[in-house]
Amino acid sequence: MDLRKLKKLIDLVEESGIAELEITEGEEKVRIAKVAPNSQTILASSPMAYHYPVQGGGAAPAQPTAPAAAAVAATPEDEGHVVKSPMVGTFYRSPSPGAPAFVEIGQSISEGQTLCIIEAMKLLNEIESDVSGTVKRILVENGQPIEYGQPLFVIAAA
Amino acid sequence: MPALQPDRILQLLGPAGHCLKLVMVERIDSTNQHLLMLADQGAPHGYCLVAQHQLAGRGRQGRTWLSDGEGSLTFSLLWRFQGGAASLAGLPLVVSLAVAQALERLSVDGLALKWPNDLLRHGRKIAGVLVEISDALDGAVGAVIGIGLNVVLEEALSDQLASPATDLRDDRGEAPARDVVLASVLEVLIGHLQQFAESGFEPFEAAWMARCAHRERMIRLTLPNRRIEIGECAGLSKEGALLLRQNGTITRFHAGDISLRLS
Repeated sequence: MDLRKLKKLIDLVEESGIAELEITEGEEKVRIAKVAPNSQTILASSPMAYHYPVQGGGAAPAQPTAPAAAAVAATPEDEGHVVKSPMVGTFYRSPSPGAPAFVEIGQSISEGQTLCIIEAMKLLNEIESDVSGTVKRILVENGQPIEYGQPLFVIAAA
Repeated sequence: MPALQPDRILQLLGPAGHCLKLVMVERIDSTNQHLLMLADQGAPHGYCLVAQHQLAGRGRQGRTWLSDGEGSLTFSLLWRFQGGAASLAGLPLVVSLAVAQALERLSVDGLALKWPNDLLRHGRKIAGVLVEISDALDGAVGAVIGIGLNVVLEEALSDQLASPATDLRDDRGEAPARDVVLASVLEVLIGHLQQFAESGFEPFEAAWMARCAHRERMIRLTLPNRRIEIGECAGLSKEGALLLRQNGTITRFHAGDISLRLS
């Protein structure tokens, strides 16, 4: 693979939403990954703009001769059980301002335990965990607007 | 005020009371909290828990609803809906509309609604509505609808309140009996809940806006993340979300506290 082609691929990845691209051409294999040390932070502060990392080769640059391998960026689903929002609303981590959060990262929880409150127009919905396990990630921030079906928590099932 | 009498309430309700299981308790921390627990244990659709005295009424975000025993009416109603929680967003608006219309039937004047679910009388808060969702059972979602209503507010209590409040008394200082108020509210509410289950919020939008305290007015909306939006109230979406007109563009909001005073 010549350098010009490589540079073009790098530019394509840079401009795209792809986190990582792996291309195999015969014996040659090239893997280009975006370094995103803040990706965790970005995810936590603006999930409204958060899209699932693209799976599969569909988003690879159109190169008919280059069978792109699947991007390897992990989706929340890959990491464990994902608890999603059943409705549009506002996410609250604690029952009232200043009160301790219902759960913290690393905390072990049991099925039926309250994880958060979703509020829409004064309709309060206590979201309970449908599995027992450990809270692995909290994907949204307190007081943040959320969409229907938006991933909220990743639970490593026990 | 005289104690509430279940028999009299059911008698006043007539046929509308057939779908209710009316349970009266003397003292309770919070009717909503208790009914949420009962709902999880399988309490039936239409279970209505009424408190003679509520000791620790709950509002949203940990706020409390103070009541002074017999001067207040506090109760919670369990209503099960088919379909997910997402379809229930407009429910608190329908509940406060029902309370307003029930009070109008009793000739209470000066009522207005403030989005999403505040009921005001002459600009002061008269009722609080809190709807909490209980776990889904077989695809149904249980909504615990809590209503606190000031019938005769004692001055001592009035002084403790965070926001200005008022009660149901007329010019002569007389208020309708709590039995009568409860029966009227339940009757209107049950009809509305049945219609809401079938058609959602949309059929209620016109009646709601006709009582809206901020219709076509400039308002300030404080969002949960403390951001402030200023615009003209342009009505409600068919789900009950607030429509705000800002520079000719209409934006939809699902949360926030409205202030009618623009500084």
